[in-house]
Amino acid sequence: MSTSHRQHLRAGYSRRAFLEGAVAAGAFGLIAPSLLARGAAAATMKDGEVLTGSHWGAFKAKVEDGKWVAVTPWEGDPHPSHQLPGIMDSVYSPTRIRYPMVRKAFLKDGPKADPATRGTDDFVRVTWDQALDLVVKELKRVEETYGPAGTFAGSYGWKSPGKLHNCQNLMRRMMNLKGGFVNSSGDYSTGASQIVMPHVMGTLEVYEQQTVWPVVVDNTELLVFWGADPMTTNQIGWVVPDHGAYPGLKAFKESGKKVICIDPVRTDTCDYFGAEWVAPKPQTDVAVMLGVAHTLYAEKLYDEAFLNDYTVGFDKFLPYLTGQTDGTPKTAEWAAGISGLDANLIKDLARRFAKNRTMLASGWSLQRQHLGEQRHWMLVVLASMLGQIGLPGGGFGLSYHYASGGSPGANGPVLPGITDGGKAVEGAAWLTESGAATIPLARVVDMLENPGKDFDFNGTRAKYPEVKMTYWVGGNPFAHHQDRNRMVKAWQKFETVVVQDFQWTATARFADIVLPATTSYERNDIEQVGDYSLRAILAMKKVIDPVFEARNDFDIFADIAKRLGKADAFTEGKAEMDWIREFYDAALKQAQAKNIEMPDFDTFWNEKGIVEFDVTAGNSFVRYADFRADPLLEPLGTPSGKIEIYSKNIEKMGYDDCPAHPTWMEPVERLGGPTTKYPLHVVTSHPKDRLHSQLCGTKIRDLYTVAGREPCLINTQDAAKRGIKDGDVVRVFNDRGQILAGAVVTDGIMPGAVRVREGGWYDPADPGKPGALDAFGDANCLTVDMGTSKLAQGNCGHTAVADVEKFTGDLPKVKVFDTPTNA
Amino acid sequence: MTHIAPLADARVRAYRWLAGLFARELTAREIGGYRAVQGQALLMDLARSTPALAGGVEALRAALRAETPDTELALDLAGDYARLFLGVARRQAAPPFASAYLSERGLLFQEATRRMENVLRYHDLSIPDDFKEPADHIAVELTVMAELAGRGAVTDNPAARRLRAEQADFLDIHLLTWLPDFARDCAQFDSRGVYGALATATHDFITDDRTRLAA
Repeated sequence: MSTSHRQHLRAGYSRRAFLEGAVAAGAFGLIAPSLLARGAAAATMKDGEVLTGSHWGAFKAKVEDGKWVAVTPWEGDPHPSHQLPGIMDSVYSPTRIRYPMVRKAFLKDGPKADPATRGTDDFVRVTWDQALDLVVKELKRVEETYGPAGTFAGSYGWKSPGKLHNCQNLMRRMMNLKGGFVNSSGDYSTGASQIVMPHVMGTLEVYEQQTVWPVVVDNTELLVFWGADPMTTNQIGWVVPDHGAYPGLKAFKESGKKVICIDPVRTDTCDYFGAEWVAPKPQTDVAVMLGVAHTLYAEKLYDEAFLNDYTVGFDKFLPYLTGQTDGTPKTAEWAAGISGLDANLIKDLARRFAKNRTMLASGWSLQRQHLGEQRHWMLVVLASMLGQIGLPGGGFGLSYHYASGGSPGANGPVLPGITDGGKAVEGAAWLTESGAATIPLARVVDMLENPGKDFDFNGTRAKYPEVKMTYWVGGNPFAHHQDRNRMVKAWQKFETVVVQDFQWTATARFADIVLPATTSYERNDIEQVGDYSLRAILAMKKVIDPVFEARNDFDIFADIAKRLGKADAFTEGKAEMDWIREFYDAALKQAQAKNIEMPDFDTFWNEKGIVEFDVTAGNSFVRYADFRADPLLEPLGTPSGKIEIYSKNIEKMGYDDCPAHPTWMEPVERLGGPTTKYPLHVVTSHPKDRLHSQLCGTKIRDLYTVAGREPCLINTQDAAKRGIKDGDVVRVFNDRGQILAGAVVTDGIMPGAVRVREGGWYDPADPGKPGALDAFGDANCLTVDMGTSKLAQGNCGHTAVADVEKFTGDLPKVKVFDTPTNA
Repeated sequence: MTHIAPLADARVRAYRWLAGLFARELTAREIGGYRAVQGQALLMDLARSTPALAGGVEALRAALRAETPDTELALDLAGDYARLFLGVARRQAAPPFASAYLSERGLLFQEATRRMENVLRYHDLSIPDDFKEPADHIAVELTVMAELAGRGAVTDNPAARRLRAEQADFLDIHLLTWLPDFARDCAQFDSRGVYGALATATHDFITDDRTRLAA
């Protein structure tokens, strides 16, 4: 307040007179007593800087008057993300869920409320007690009426990091105490590869440490990024990222060695390296790889000894490659016809791959497509033919773009975290896989539409359960799931939807009961720094008090468990700091056994708040070096112990959409496909300025929106044909949906492709109406909702063809954000 | 001049009544109370003693006249309240915080909140634990005005002038900076019109009050 104002108050003020006036007014019954109490509020949070962490990295939060006012990256971060300031924005956003809320019709009529009004109906505030009583009543009702398979608790999403307030584990911990539930397996990032790779390499591969960057910098001669944009996507990590890939990327750039980016878009990575840009038609990568493989074979550039010693099944694959089995030799010319690349370029790639120490670093876009299993499998076959797997800087890698795969590993301990059950309950019959049933998670809409229908998955066949209730926490399926309009309709099959989150996501708006959770910055937690490097253990200290009535996930679920009569089983008698101390002490014990120095918990928590570990042997790690050195003593986890170019296990499954060796098959739709209706492929890359949909509601959005909407990259020729100019609002549409976006006309994307990054907040002009025009640009209004194949049933978030036109109708306002209306 | 003193009780009543309406949803019991004779008398009195409130009072009375049961009307109005004030409808709403209107990006808990916290601290007041709103919530600001206005009738002397000046200052700094935008948003986004009319009435009343304080 102004100085003059303060002086006025001081001069004329009598406290007694002040309060007595208010009391007199209270005599009118309906005029509530004064909101305010006598006595100044005590400050609960100290001013100063608090070190904490996030999916974007570790940072210091500056606190003044109990308010979070600034963000500074942790000084140990070699490449802080430019998205950090958006975190503070999200915490203080007017879109925070502030109180427990219940959909009005649901409060009145319970589960008989019309599900069709979900998403448009009003919400009403209730007390925490009312809300939790209602949640428990529904959990019990559904369990009693429909049995354990009536509740879907396969909640997925990028919950916040932290070993204790892991909301998804906590929710399933509560669900396990309640009884049964339907769980989900897999994720939306690597659905296809994480299922096929264990058959091929014996590991998930997508979440494994890569040959480390110092080795790549010293040894790799040709670095190929195949559908990967590591400069963009390494900003984020599932735990607290160390950003250890960036010094490696920089050192490689400084070495001046060759980089090739194979991508429909000239990515930031491509620009950073000044790389050679190769742009095949999207979804034709298997054909390109086969063309390269055929060239290697025809020109005898492949490593026969490696194939003999380290792989099985090349003999069964070869007749397919040469066309002996199907009459179609997979020549470079054949591949050129499908991919649109020049046949000579394909041959040239083969020769250069063979001539150099080549690292084939692939992203996950390739496998988030129909028939996605084939892509990385074929990449492995290619790498096997090149024979460099296990050599320093050679082979292939499926995580150079994610969470700084290849960041050298430290010698530190592993920090445990809260579990979803197990030893928590004495005498309980824990299932080995939590849950009454499990579905591949991207099939959730298919499950809702087809209860009782058989589905195939990785050699098993099961029936979809009939679920009537879901509890979603730490995720936003109305962002990450495909074919939004199909989903909006299927969502009506739920009788009861509970969503627990910190902000009004699209999913929260399609819920019946909405519970406000704290953000990471309103509670204490602990986490590791570096998904692959495990470089440090970080105290994620509370920055500010919880806003409004937000509560910690742990406390919410503990209260639900209490209502179920399972309070002790849930909490094990431990509160927040007891758990954090226990996790730390478990790590400390490992450290002591390994003779690694680590302070005791109190010193760690009260002093630095971070303990860093040394990188020693981690600096020279070469993936599969052990296997290469001795394939008999260090076999792979596959049935043969070798790389499986041909999988007998997959052969036994007999799937028409996933044969026993990598195969080119036409995806359901693609650019230039034989039965494809629309002329443009929609590239739905991971965002540069968001984590999927996270931070879309913050100031970071100013960095990228065009005409206030998600940008749509379109090639100069495609734009000219359609009369589209840079900055125009365009409508991108197909039979599944339609979105508005802001045109960016550029030669940085190949003709025939447009790019709308995934994660734009769903903003239907007519909520709940099938086919509603999305005003901001949610790419998943356009994508295909089907399994990659019967093998993995992964999502196809990169499979979408559409057309684009300049939008000339009445422009619907973007309503989804918190931009002040007077701005 | 001195004509402000006789109005003091009515002003306090008006500020407190409005604060209560914006602080929380009306309960079914309160709706029953307003529908009873005493409640109707209170509304008439408010409209008579503070004419700027007449529009807001009439909108509320119109809603009360409908044959909706108390519980149902409470639910309907609670839905309106949540959409406008509790963040459900994102920004198709009227966030009841100075910060939402005065900070660069419409965030909460910004400078305006801290300034109101200073005001409360200066007056040795605090927000009790059961009201989980920041200090720049409109209900808190209206309550502070009620308390400033209710310090009693001091007649024409330098102290009275100072009291008027401090109230005028408070309105200028903490309320009139954002109230017009808030009232506009309420009117624009409220479907039933009760809260929209009440916000407009709040704006009208405070504009009048500010003029009187300057007189």
